[in-house]
Amino acid sequence: MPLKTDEVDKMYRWINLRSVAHGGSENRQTNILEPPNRPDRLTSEKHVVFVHGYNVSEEAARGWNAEMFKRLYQSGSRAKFTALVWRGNQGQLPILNITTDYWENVTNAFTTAAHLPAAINALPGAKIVVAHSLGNIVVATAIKDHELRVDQWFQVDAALGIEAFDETVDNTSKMRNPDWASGSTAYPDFLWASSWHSLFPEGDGRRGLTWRQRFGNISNAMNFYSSGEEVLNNSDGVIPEYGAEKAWALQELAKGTQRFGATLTLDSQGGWGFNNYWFVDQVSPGSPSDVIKRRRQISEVAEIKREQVRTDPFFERFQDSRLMDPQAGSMAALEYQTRSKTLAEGIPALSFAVGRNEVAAYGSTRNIDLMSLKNGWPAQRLNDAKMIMPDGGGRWLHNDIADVAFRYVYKVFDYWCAQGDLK
Amino acid sequence: MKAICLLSSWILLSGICALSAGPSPTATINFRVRDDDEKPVEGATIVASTFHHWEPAEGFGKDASATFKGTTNADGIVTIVGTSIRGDFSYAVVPLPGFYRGGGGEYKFANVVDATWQPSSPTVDVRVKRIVAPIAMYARKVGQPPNRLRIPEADRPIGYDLIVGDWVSPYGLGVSSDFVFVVNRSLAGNKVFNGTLTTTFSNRGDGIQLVGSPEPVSEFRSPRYAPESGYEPKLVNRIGRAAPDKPIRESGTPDLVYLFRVRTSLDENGHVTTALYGKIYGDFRFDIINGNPAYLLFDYYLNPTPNDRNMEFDPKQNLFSNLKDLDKPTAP
Repeated sequence: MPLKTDEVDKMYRWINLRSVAHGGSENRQTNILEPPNRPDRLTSEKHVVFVHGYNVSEEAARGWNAEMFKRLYQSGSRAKFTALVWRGNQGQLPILNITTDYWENVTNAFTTAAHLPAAINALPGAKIVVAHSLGNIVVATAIKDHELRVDQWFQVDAALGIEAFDETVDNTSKMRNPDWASGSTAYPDFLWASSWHSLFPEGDGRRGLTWRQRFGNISNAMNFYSSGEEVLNNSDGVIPEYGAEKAWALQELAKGTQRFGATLTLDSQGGWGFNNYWFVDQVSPGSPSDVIKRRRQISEVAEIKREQVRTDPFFERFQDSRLMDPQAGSMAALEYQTRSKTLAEGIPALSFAVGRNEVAAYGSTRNIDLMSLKNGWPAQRLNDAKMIMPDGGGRWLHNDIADVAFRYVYKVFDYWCAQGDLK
Repeated sequence: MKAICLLSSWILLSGICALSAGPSPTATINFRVRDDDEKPVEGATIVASTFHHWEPAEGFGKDASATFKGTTNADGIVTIVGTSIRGDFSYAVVPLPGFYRGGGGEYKFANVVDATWQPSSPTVDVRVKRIVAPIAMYARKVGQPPNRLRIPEADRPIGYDLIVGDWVSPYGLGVSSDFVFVVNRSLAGNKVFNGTLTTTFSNRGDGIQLVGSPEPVSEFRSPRYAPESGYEPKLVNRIGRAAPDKPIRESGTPDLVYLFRVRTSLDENGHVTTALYGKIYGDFRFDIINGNPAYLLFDYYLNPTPNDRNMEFDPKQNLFSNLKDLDKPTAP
């Protein structure tokens, strides 16, 4: 009997949407024809679509998708599989594999979403979308804004704030930049970028410049979060140091500021920065003849009126100056790209990340802690105390759905097969 | 312009990746390891890890640690000396024969003086629990999705049999109402709702008590023995959203441990003549958002031997032999 070996990615379909965001290039073109090495007659009527996360190159996406396909296959999935590739690594630096501009890629996620319905609806079968990390913004936006219809959506390590799905969740005390508070007092929240939308009447486009209820409670979404997360770990109210631990919280807390990460992107706007329009003069302590500008203290903002900060925000100005224009602002905010970019770069979330926590609005049975689905854990991980929970168990980290060997994580794929009826 | 900035980004990020290249302050920590009887533990290896550098990788990259190890002496003490950029140490006990995993934690130094993290040579207490007498139990993760357990009806007491692992007749195959659940729910639109889950028991002397979040932190989370008294005949859990703009509130947390007593018989003086003891890791959770009237979730362990209050479970001896992987508790 002849034996043939071939590439695994000839066992599934490939949708490449990299070119739709900022003219990204594509090496491997979309191909949704029947895969030559796994014809549809060998599959069920279900169809799994996987959407990768942030800072994944086109080549790396091949690895992610091959791994996800193989793991589902090993768990007994007979569903068809499609890899959906998007440009989540804009600005990736060569060699280092670093993408400096996270927020630009959040904008890309919004942009890509518009193209999902046409791409996914063309696929055969009932659709189950599995999205990792920032890929969940692509899917959420496609469902909310572009009428993508899927049967189930498995959110894995979702890198966005809980408030986008449940507006009542509020972790402000931990997600507020410490520069905006002093002890138990803080700048009034109408001065914050996160609250700027509330200064405008219903019907004004700027009401949409908020993460709160951006997507709402999508009834067929399930949240696969990890209480052992490092990247999406909850802020304790202090600006995290650079690194993977609490990286998501850091980028939310750095929006609009002059911190390292923010300035690297060239996209510092809104957020927790301070608009020098509201600065006051102060005599330099060391040189009485010199006057320096400084930001107002909390005790010095009482006379600032809501009407004033509509046009001259207390926070760092938005890059698109039209937003602050009384006449043009509403229409500008309704422009999809403007809204997306402003949200991504200038509006901080005030809630913890979905991928680290339960979304209460989902109910107990639509929140699954990946830590509860471990089957042992790699011994080499247990040599590093940073990778261990206090009870001695290993932490399920942000990319572990693909990084950790199948034998340790197979219960998640078994779960998906059962929940999605994929066998 | 963008190219110049990308180049400068490259240089800056190269610098971050190479943070470990410079000298780091020295840190010294004394660990004092004792068991749950306060006896020193000799031969325990402590791993202490601190942030060393960040490595670029897909997504947000990875943190790499500098790790230091040492083994306790006859007094259960080990001194670990290392270097640290941030003074942030996580520590853990290397799995030790005869002990459960656990005892880990974090220690953050305050400041640096003369290239040494302060306070100098702090002592950190570490507790580990001995494996004494793990036994077979009926252990089950009830209602773990996707195998949801629906409460059959609202506003009506319905029994659950812990040995059969099912509702009692006519809703299931159970025969003994070890737990009796009543779920009440009221909905006012899809945002405002209120739900109550009341758990009661069938026999005088049955009941449940909250242990709370136990110390030391261990994979063996419960006390070694269930107490002889202190059991309450009723437990009420609540979930709800009082107004559209208010967050959902749910009683309980995942860290809780409950101990319970069921199938109790009392003599004429009210003393227990026979009873079964068990424990629950986490809380009773009920989902009235997706379930009608509700889905129920809880993880229980039941010692099958009457009057044996041992709560130490051997996961290899689960008396439920046909559980799916997702329904098997793995913690002792």
